Amino acid sequence: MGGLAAIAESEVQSFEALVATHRARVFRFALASLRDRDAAETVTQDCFLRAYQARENFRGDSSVQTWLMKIAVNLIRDAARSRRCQFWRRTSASAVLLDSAGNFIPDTGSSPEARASAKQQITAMWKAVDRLSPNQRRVFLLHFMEGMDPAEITEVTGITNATVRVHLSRAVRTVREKLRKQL
Amino acid sequence: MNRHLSDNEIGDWIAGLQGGEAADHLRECAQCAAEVNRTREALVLFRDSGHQSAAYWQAQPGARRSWNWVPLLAAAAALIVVVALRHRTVTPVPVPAPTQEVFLRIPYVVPPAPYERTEVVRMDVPVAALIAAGLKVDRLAGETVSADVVVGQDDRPLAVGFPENKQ
Repeated sequence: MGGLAAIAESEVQSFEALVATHRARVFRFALASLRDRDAAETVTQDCFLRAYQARENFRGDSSVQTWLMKIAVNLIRDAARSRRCQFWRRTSASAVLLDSAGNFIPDTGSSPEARASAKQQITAMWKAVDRLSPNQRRVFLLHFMEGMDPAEITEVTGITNATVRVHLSRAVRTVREKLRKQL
Repeated sequence: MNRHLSDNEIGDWIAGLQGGEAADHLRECAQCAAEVNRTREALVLFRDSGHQSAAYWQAQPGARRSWNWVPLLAAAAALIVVVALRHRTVTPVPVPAPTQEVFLRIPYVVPPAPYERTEVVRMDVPVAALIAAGLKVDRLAGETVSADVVVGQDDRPLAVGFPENKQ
């Protein structure tokens, strides 16, 4: 029994290490996709719970990171579907307002004018991204927020490489158009 | 390439979907290069703000884990009850007759287009959300009610019905 307990404990410890390594990324992608802190936390917890439950099935065909992001993408899709109504979202206390996104400006020691301009650009960009279709937004965030190339996005989302490229191209075009109108 | 890059070509270049010819043009054309740089800078700001915002919110204690809120919420709930008892001017939900439509249109929402696909989703809705949407409800703002919501193609709520009123 003592041996089994030791194995179980070491398994949990190694899983905790995996959580510590990948948690920030899963949470970041969930938050950017759902714009709701509570929903992003729930998705992150569910993601690692599902990963733990399915750890026996992980054969190492893809990286752990890709595997986790694949789970996260599915959970985010479900969460977005179940929430549905925009005005429920608006009244949610944990909703991260798009207007507040501009407050998170990289500190580059720039002038107040440059910071104001950066803030304006960031807010406009989040608004533009928020108006993309769910597929375009998903692909856009995976590429520009998480730095994934189309091949990785294909693996994570299950969308064909050609479709990923179409979504990415249209998303960038739409965002550029919206930025031009807003700025 | 003698002409400037089109919007699509610039977008595809930024997304990493364009190859050689665009690269050659960008090396020679300051105008197109400036356009690419402007968008790239905005994308970098966007990425960094996303990373910083996630790091910030992850470091904050979650609302559902913050037990310090319990006494505050209890006090707020007690205050609401006291106010409600003192001003018993609650407006009841208009109960439609069986022949009338059972859904209440949500005010200030653009009605669905004739070709638009809609669906009804049953959900637990905070009364505060209904009040915020412009509906009159005879419940306390802190409560939740079960409702059937007509949802448009773009996920906007169009109308709401209350199963308890249908019986």
